[in-house]
Amino acid sequence: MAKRTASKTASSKTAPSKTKASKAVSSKASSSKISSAAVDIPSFEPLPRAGEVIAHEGVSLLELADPADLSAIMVHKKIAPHVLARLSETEALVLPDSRDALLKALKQAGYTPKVL
Amino acid sequence: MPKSFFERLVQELGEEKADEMRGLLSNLGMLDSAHSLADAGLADASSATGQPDGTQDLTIESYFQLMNVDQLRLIAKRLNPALNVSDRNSVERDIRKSLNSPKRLKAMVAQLSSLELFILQTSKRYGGSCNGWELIIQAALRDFSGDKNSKVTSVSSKVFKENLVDHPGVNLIAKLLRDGLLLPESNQAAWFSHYYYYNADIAHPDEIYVDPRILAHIPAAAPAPYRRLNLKAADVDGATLSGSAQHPVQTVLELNEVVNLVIDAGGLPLTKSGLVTKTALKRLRKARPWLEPRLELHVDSLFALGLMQPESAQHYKVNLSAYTTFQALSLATRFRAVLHTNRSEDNEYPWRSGLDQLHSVGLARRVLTESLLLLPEHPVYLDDVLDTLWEGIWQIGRAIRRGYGYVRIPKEKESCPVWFKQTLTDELASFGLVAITQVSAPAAQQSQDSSKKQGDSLGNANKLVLQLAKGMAWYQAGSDETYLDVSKDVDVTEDVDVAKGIDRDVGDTLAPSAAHQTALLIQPNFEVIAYLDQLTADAVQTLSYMEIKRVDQQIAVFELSRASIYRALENGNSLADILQRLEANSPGLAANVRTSLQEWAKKRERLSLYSDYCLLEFASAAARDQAMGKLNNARAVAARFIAVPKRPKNLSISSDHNYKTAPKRVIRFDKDGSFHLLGASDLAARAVISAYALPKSDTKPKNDTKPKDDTKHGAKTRKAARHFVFNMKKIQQEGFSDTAHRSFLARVKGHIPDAQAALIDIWQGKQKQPSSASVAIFQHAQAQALASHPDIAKHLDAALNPTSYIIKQGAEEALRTVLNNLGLSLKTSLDSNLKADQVTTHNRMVGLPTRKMREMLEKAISEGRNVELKYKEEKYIYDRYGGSKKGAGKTKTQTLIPTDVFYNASTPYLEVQTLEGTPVKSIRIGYIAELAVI
Repeated sequence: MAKRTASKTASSKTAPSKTKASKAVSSKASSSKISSAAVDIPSFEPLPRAGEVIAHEGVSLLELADPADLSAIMVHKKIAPHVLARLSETEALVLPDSRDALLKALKQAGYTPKVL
Repeated sequence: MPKSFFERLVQELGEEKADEMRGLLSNLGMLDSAHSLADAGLADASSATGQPDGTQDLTIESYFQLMNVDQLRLIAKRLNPALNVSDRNSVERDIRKSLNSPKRLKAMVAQLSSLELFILQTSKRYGGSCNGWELIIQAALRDFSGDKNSKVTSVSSKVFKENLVDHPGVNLIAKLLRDGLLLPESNQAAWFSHYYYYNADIAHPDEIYVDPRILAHIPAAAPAPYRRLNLKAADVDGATLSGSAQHPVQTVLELNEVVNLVIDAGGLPLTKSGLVTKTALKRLRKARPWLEPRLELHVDSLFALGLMQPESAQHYKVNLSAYTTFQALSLATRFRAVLHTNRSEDNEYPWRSGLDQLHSVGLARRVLTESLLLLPEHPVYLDDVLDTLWEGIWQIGRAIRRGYGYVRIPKEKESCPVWFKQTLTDELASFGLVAITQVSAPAAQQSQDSSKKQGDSLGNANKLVLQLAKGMAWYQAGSDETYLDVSKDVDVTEDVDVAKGIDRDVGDTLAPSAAHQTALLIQPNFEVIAYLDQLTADAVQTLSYMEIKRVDQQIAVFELSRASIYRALENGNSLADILQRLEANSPGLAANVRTSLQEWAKKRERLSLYSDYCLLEFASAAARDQAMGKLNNARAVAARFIAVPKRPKNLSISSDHNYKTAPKRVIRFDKDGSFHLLGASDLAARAVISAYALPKSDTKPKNDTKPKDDTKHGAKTRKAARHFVFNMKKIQQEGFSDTAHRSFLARVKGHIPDAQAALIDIWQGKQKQPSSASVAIFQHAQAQALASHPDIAKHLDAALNPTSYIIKQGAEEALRTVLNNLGLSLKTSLDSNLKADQVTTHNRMVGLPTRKMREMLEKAISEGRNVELKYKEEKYIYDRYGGSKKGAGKTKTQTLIPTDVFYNASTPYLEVQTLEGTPVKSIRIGYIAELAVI
C-alpha cells in the first residue's frame, strides 16, 4: 500500500512538503520500536583504544534532515536492506557495495537524494 | 580568414575546457590530431608505431633508414632540381643541406602545384600533423581538374620501401609522400600495399606529418573556397517540394534525452564483446518509444563522443564532466559532432548495400556529408547528384583492397554503391541535411530526356529530387570551410557563407540575444513549449534536463517535473541557475511553477548521500572534537566519527579498512558456539556484533597474556581476545536481517557450527521451533513384517528404524487389543540391543542407508543366503558434447545370489548371479531401493 502511494506521489507534479509516502512510513515507524526519540544505535564494540584513529575508506553515509525520515528508511522494505547501521538519529552507514542499489531504491520510493 | 575548428572551440569554451573537449573529439576527424598528438607527446606516438624517431619533431632525416636510394634521389631532386649526385651518402648529405637552406626551400615551395600547395597549407593549418584522410577529403572537395600540374597519378616507385596503392584518394597525396614532403606515421598505413587484411579492424596509423623546416616556408593561407557543382536544376515547382526534413536542433535535443535516459538507468551494461546489451536498449526504447528510430545511433554517438566512461569492465555510465563540456559547445558544433561520430553499421549482407566496397563506413560517411557542401542551392535530381559525386569525390571512400592481403585494382568502371544512396536518402535526410522529395510524373516528364540519357530505371515516372535543408546550414556553421557558387559568377577570392543562402544565419544561435527570450514558453501546467527556430545553446541547456513529450517541425514540448529538477540539480546546477535560465529564455515563470521548483529543490536537501567518503573513528567524542580542527572539509558524524572526502595526510591513522575490497575474515567460531575476533574488524562486522552479540563473560581470553601485534602502528589488539555469544533475545526481537546476516557471514573464517547456524535460523524465524512429545514405540525384530498386517498398520505411525515404529497418539490400547486378538502380547520394555540385521524376511526393507545395506549383504554372503532386491541398473548417460557419466537406469526386482561386495573407487558394488546360474553382474549398492535377505 505504502509503495503504491509512494509511486503515485513521485509522479505527481505538485509535491507537498511532506509526501503521503513518508507520512505513511513515518507513522509506521513511530509506532514501531525504532523511533526518533530513542533510536537504537549500535555501539560498534569493540571500541578503539584511547588515542587510536581508525580510518574507514570508501564508505557511503546517509544523512537526513529529519530523524523521523531516517526511522522510516530503516524500516522500509526496499531501502533498509542497504543500510548497514544507524550512526546517529539522522545519519546511517550504507552497506559496502550497496550505494547504487540504495540510490535506486531511494528514487523508486520517491526520495530525491542529494549525492555528494 | 575563417577560424579553424579548434580556434573556434577555444573561443567558445576557453583554453581549459577546449583541452578537455579536444581529447573527447579527437577521434571524430573534426579536430586536427596534431593538437591531440602534441598533448600525448610525439615521442610516445612514434615509439608506439615503431618509428625511428624519438624526438619531438619528425624530420625527413629520421626516415632515411626507411627509404631506398631511389626515393632519396627523388626527394633530393625535389629539394634541389640541380642535383647531380647519385650515391646514397651524397644524396643524404644534399637533402640535409637543402633542408637547412631557406633559399632552396623557398624555391621548392614556389614550384609546388596548386594541389600540393593546398595540401601542405591544410597540413600547416592543422599544425603540421593530421589524419591523412582529412587532407585527402579537403583536397578532393576542391576542383583541381583545371590545373594540369595538379593532375594526380599513381606512383610506381617504392615509397618508404613499400608500394603505394592505386586508389583515387591515395593518389592525391602519392607524389608528396614519395617526395618526402609528407611523412607517414608508419609504413603500415592504409595507403601502403604492405598492409594485411587481418589488420583491417584495428585503427590505422594514418597520421601524416610535414618536416617543420618545410612547413615554415609554406605560406599560411585560408583554405581554398569550395565551388558549387553546376548541376541542372530540377524542373519542379518549389511549392511541390515537401519541407518534411526535421529541424537540426532536434538531433541535439534527442541526444540530451538519451543522456538523461542513460543517467536515470544508472548507466549501460555491455556484453563481453563490448556492445550495449539488448535488454538495456529495450528498456530505453520502452521509456521513450518515439526515440526508437535513432536510439541506437545516439547511444553509439555517446560512446564515440567520449560521453560515457567505464565504471567496470562491462558497465558504462555517463561522464558528467565531459557532458557538461560538450553542452558548452555551440549547437551547430554539437550537431556536426553527432554527424561525424564513427558509428558502426551492422549489416548481415554487406554486399547488398555495397558496404563491402567501402574502405570504412566512417570515411565514406564523412566524404558523403562533406560533399553535400558542393551541391547548389536549387533542387537537383538525386540521380544527377549520385552520378556526379561518385565520379568526383565519393570514390575516395572506395575500398583500398579486398580479400586477404590483395590490392584491389578495379578493371572496369564501377557503379556507385547503393550504400551512398541509402545513407543520403535515409540517414542524412533524417538528420535534416537534405530533403528528398518524390516529384510526380508530369513534373518529371519534362526531364525525360536527361533521364533517358542517364539510363535511369525510373525513367519518366516519378523522380527523386534533392534539396539542401536547414541541417546543411548548421553543418556549415560547425565547420570552418567556405565555398563559392560558380553558378552566380562571383569572384573566386570571395568567401560565401552557405548558411546565408539557405536559411537564417545559424550564427545567431551561438550568441543569445534579447530577441530569443521567447524561445521557451513555460505554461502553468508545467509544460514548456520550445520554438525550435528560436532555440539558442543556452535555451537548449535549460531544456536539457527536461523530458521531451513531443517534437514537431516547429516546436517541441517538454515537461518540467520533480525528476527533471532533481536531474538538473544533480548535474551541478543550482536552483538559482535553473530559475535564471528559465526566466532568461521565456517571457516569464508562473508563480505556481516557481513555488513548485523551490519545493522540489528543498526536498532534495532533506536527504543526502555522501558517497565514497573516509570515515575516521575515534575512541571518544573528546578525541574526535580535538581532531576536527586539524582537518579540512570535515564534518562530525554521530558521537565518535568524522567524515572527510579523502583520507587526511596530517593525521596519524592506527589502522584502516577499505570497503571497496573484499572484507577480511576476522571472526572465528569456537566449538562451544561462541566466536572471537582474530584482528581488527571493520564497521560492518562490529555493527553486527554490537547489535546482535554479547561479550562472553565466563570465558577467559585465550591470548590475554600475549596479545597479538597485528596492527601497523603497534596497537595491541586486546579486542582480538574478546569472545562473544549471540544475543538470542535481540535477534528474536528485532530480527537478524539478511543484510546483517550476509555481512556477518562474509567476515567469518571457517564455517559456522551447524548448531549455531540452525539456532540463528530458528531465532530469525526461518525455521520452526523444535517439538517434543511422549510417544509409545512398537518394537520387534520383524516389525516391518508385522506392520504390513492391515489391523496393526492402522495403529502405527512413522518407522524409526527397521525394528521400531511409533504408535499413533492414543492408539496404544487399541494396538494391544489387536495384538491380543492375534495371539500376541505387548511387553512394556524396549530391547535396546535389538538390531535391524536380525530381521530376515521376504518383505523388502526400504530406505536403508548404503552402509547398512552393504553390511547386510556381506552378512548374507557369509551365511550363504539369497537376497531379493529392487534396484536400478547402472547405465552410461551421454551428453551432447560426447562425454558420459554413470546414472540410474531401469528399475528391476529380482531374487539373486550375492557372491561378493567390491568397490569401484569409493562406490560399493554387489556382485550377484541369478538363481539359474546365469552370468555374474554387478549392482551398485546405492541404487538398491528395497532389500530382503531370504
